[in-house]
Amino acid sequence: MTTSNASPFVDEDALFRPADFMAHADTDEREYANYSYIRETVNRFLSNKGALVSLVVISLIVLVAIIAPLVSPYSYSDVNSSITNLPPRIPGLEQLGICDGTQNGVDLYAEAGIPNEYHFFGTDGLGRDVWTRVWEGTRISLVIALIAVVVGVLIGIVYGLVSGYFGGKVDIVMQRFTEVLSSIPQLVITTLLIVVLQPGLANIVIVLFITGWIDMSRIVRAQVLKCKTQEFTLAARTLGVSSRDIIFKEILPNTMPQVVVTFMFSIPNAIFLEAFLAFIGLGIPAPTASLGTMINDGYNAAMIYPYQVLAPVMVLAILMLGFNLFGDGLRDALDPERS
Amino acid sequence: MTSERKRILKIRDLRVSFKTANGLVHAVRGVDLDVYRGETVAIVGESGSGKSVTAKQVMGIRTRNEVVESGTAEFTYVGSDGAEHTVDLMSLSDKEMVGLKGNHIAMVFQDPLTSLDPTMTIERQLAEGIREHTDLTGSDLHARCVELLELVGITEPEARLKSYPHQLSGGMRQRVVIAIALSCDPDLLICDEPTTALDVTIQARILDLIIELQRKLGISVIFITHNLGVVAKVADYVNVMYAGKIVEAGTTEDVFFDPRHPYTWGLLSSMPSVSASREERLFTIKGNPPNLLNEIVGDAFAPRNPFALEIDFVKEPPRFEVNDHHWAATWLLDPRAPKVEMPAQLRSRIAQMRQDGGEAR
Amino acid sequence: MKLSSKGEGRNGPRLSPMARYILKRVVIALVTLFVIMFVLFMLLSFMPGSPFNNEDKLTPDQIAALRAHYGLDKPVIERFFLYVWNMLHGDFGVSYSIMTNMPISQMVGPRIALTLTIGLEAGILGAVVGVVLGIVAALRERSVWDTFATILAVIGVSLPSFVVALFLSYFLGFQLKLFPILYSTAQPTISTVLPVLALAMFPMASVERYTRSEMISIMNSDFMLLASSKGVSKTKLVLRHALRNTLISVITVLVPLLVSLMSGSLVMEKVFSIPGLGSLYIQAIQQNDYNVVLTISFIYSVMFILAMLLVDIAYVVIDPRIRIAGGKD
Repeated sequence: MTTSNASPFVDEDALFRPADFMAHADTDEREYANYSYIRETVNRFLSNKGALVSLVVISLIVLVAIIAPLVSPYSYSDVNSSITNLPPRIPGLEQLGICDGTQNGVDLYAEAGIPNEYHFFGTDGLGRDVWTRVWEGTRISLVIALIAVVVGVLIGIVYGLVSGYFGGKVDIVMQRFTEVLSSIPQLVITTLLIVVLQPGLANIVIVLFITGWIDMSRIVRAQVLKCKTQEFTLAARTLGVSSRDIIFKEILPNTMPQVVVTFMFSIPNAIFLEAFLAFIGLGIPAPTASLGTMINDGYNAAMIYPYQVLAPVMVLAILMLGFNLFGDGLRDALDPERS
Repeated sequence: MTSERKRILKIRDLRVSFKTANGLVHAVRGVDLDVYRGETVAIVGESGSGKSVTAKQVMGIRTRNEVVESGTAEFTYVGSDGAEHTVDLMSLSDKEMVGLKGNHIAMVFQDPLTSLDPTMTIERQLAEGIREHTDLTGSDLHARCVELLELVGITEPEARLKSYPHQLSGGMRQRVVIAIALSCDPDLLICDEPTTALDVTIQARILDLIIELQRKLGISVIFITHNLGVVAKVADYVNVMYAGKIVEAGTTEDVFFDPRHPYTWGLLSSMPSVSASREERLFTIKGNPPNLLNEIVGDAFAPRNPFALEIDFVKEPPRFEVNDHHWAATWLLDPRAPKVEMPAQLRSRIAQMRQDGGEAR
Repeated sequence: MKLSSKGEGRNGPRLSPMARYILKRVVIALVTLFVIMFVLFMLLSFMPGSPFNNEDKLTPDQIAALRAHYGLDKPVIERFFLYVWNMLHGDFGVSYSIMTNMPISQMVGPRIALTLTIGLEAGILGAVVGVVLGIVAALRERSVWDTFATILAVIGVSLPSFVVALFLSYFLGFQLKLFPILYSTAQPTISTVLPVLALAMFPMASVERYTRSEMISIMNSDFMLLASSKGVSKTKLVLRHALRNTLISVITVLVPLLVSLMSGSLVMEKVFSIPGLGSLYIQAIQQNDYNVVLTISFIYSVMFILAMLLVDIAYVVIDPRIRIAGGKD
């Protein structure tokens, strides 16, 4: 026999009367109050420390990339042959003996005739301020990636929706097309297109989204096919709801978690591709800086002036890591079954 | 139901919780259960009532976030030495469980489509357990596999043994799963919603197969289901479970013809029946089961119970014995409670069932 | 597209599902190859430059003779098929600017082997280490091993190959002097250690990730539950059921890895000055040697398509679901 923990002072006998449901009306609601999809998703995301830290780090990098070039006393493109290859010099830290602008005990800033200037990350082979260039480059890389991914995602969503929703012959033709397209190595498509179009900001964006939409279209199509057979869609169709309404009101919202996750993972992909193109000599032409072109410029001298390549490499690495960890966290939070 | 009934499983005060991101979910909150040799015990309840979790404890199947807070499960079996052993399944190590599983306790799972290894032939999967617990090899082993498939009503067993799971239909796969479960003549068979994932027409056949095998082999069965129609067909004993507790238990006749707990009333009323008149609207139990994340005060069913008393919201009802094999945990059975009768609609329904059942049995 | 459906229709009833599936894959591969050659042919006419290096010094007769030799006087369709014919016979034309008038087949021939060797070594190293790490991580979920493997995987997946290459060559090569930082024909083995390591990072990391999550989901699958309910010990369960199912599905992620190996090998060849296909590709891009760019694009595509076909066929042969039923979905 189980006994309860009710207070002994309650007169039990008096309680054997039909319950007053109005008095207990809140019981139901109270029990479900802390039980919702959004809240659980947010909870799951917040409990993922890696994702949370990444979000903060990404936001910081974006902020600095916007602000730093604006407030820097130097321009990213100013060439000055008298102050080339200066080591980093940062106020505050220089008292500690690091980043004090000296190399082998020689104050190169004094030698270059600018003893009162500070190049936080030093200068490159053309005397440009690496700090300003790195953040300018980060901004450009992020903008390229973001535009390419947004356009790619939109194309992918539309393509996947149309292919999945209409099915039949339309689907077969569209699927064969993506199949053939994805059988051509992305490397070859991107390289050839850039060779033909010539490197440039707009062309790089175009090249990135031309290959970037396929994954998204596959995911959306798979989701559409899944949704199509579910009761709520069938119900809507039976009630005579139009195709357009079914797509936009029933199917699209259900594909959103997957779309968001894929979107998040596409950004580091695009950042990487841009850097990769720059590295094989198909980057944005000078003097515009991007993380990729800076790494390409700095890598030749990497053994002599490691800081010139270290700065863009670190920013790139942190961005890629951050976006990947953030994407992981988002996926785990939105789609716990798949992780 | 004679005096020589032999108890093979005795579960006492089983409490199981799950650790989740939102806190501890108390899925099973003090369950007692007895299974006697050669009898079928059903556990009925809505999804989330803890019926499956309870049964899986017997097999030692626990997820990573599962915590057993208390409870014993004494299992009595005849070992290979011919002697009778009694062990507490809850305190056995994984290694000790391995010796019992398949051999003395077996289980049939819900979804036959995912229950078989897609990369292995039926024969290898069927032989796997037999090899583990017996000395059969070669042609003897093969003969045993053929015999098992015949036992579960699969035609052309030789050809089927060479098949891969995806080549068989859902019903056929469930028969294979049953054959695997029976491969070492277990003492106790746990059926976890074995027909839920199947087509309606196949459901009946699989159910008949389980009943037939149970009678033929004389094994004990724990049958988990949310479907009362299935219960009436297979079970000798019924345990009605709600929110992690058994609220009413008795023989199938007790629970179907003389239900005492309002939740059982609700379940029986909401059961679709052919004989019900067309004007009669299908009864539904209003509201949702309680969130087991929260501490439950009083009777968990009270907020959904149209017959609830004030005391239901304050104090948990103890068990009230109706007779020596039937009890219910509801304050309505307390002598101090006002006299509450089951709904008239249900009463006429039960009368109808008695009549139909009498003819059927 | 038409080809594939026609092929299926004609051969469908008589072939086994597996043969039909493989045939379908082969047809798609051929169609893709055809499409690629068509695109390359089109690009050839868009690209600046001409096959004749010093046109102004040639007499009209000589130009006409050259045009006839390259088939430029024929109709477009005929020229295309001539192009296809030449490509398939390894006649890729001559280089414009890197080594003037040298047949490209002679330039790329010896480089293919080097690129393939490094790529294969890295791919195999990455896949093997990745599978082992993934299995260990899955079996010891939430242990130190798991954390270690997960961190390694996140870094490996996130860091671009050239960053890994730069770090490795700076620390292991330049600072610690363990390995040479540039390729040398005198010591081909030791000087490819760093590039192979750097190139193996990404496949290792992504195979590890995939193996881990696949293994965990298989360990929690219904059929593992049923197998364990037969009273089979955990070791046997893992060896008999989990590994088998995991390895089969790991095959599916090998295709995307090929892509990364390809772009990665380009980077490695540049960083470590390896005289492979990739460094020639980069050189050709920078010197506008379009014929070489197109040729190497073609070779890359062929390698990629062949590898995909092999993976697809391996998958069919290994997985009974497809072997018997045919088709993946």
